[in-house]
Amino acid sequence: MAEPSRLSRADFDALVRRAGLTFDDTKADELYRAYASLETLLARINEPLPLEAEPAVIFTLDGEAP
Amino acid sequence: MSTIPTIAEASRLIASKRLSPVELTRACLDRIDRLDGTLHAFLHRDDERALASARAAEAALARGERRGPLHGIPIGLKDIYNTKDMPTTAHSRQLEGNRPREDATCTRLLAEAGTVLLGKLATHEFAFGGPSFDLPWPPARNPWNPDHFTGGSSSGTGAAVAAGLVLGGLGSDTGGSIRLPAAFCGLAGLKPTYGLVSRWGVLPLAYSLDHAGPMAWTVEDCALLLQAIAGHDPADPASADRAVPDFSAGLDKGAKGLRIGVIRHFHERDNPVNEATRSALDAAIDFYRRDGAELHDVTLPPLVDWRAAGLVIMLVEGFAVHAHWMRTRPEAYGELLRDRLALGALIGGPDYVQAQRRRRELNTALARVLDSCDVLLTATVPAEAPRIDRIPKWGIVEQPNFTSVFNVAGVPALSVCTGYSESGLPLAMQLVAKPFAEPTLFRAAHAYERAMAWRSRRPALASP
Repeated sequence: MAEPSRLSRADFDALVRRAGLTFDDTKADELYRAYASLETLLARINEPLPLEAEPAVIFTLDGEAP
Repeated sequence: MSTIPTIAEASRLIASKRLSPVELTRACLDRIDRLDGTLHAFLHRDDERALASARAAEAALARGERRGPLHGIPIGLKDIYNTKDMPTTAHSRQLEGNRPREDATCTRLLAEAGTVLLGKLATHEFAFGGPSFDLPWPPARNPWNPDHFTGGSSSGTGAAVAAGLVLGGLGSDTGGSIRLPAAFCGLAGLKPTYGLVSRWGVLPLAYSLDHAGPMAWTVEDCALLLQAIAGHDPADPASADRAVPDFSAGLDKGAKGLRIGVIRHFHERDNPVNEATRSALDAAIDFYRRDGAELHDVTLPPLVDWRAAGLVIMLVEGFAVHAHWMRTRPEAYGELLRDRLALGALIGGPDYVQAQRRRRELNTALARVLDSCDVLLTATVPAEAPRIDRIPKWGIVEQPNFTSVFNVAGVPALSVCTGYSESGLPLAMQLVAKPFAEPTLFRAAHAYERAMAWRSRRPALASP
């Protein structure tokens, strides 16, 4: 596992409640540790990008203008 | 039948009336009877329906109405492909007893090609949670050694093809779920270009990363299966509207002249592979050099960056799919899927957008490298299949993998067997090409595969 989470356990529990999920203490402990590993990945995607860096989301428009 | 034919071999025998689809189907059903109590590859089988399909194929062939190379070929579908005549459960209590009203597009296309559907194959729960031991149906086992992992999530397709329970089948791939079981079970498995194969009627894991694709004993067989399922489908919003090439036409051109980029830092530095895997990769590189390909090392952003973007996108999209059930009846999931999906609920909206922005940057870097290469080469997995009871739940966040890179990018990627470890378990490499360049990918992989002797080697338990 990675470094301890930068979130306090109380903040983590608030995040879980906001998500509408419910865990017992044992499960919450486990997910809190896993979340710390996830934070290292979140840090990598949050390295600064230029303002014009758009997301890789592609969609097409159907039909023609009236 | 004493030996297990490839799809191409069986097809030629059927076309020349030296093999009956009924006889072939019975041989597969006999192997299922003998082996599936150990392998658990099937979640649902319908022998009567299969034999009726085989008899119908035989009658059509007798009338001279051959639909193509898949006519009369026994196949299986990962149990996330909707089938109107069979249950579709995603290996989950959440969908126990689910009977779709319509076939998935791929299901329909394979039926129209004349295949004989033997049944629905095990998967990690909803293509993400596995191997799970707390579900009503056990996880599939590796035919090369049932104590070992099949890889996943298309675990049943991997096991069934390797053991000859079916000659080919479909899996799905969101972060490696076709290529990982292909690698651990010793098959060929293709994640096609995003948009080439319809995902309509395939239960989703993460919409922007999901791919449907073929798994079979050989590269040639994958090309035959892909031919049947590729093409535009207006029902799939990601489906590409473009002509479908002949995927088998260039198979025999050999590797001469192909420009192959070796992503050496992936498997030597970013996630170092074991000695057996590295030796096999080096031998494959030597083969391509001898066969006249031009090889050079290439550099991409590190694996961990691809993993970060891919996993964040997968977890968030995956949780969005399952949010209602995760909040209202989480107990119906197995622990592994429930816990993994829960992480997706804890990632914020800005992080998801950042992952998609980072994804575009990564894909631009890959496109630049592909400008000077026809094919890329790296590992599929770092080692042979581990024991099935030693799969860490949180490996998905702790270890970068070689496969999810190409889900993030949407380019075609194929796993092919590179031999066997000392313990007799398969090894593999991964080949990658430009978007919609599956013919080039098949050409490169087939050149290697046909030069190697191990395609004649099957798991010992599948021997008569």
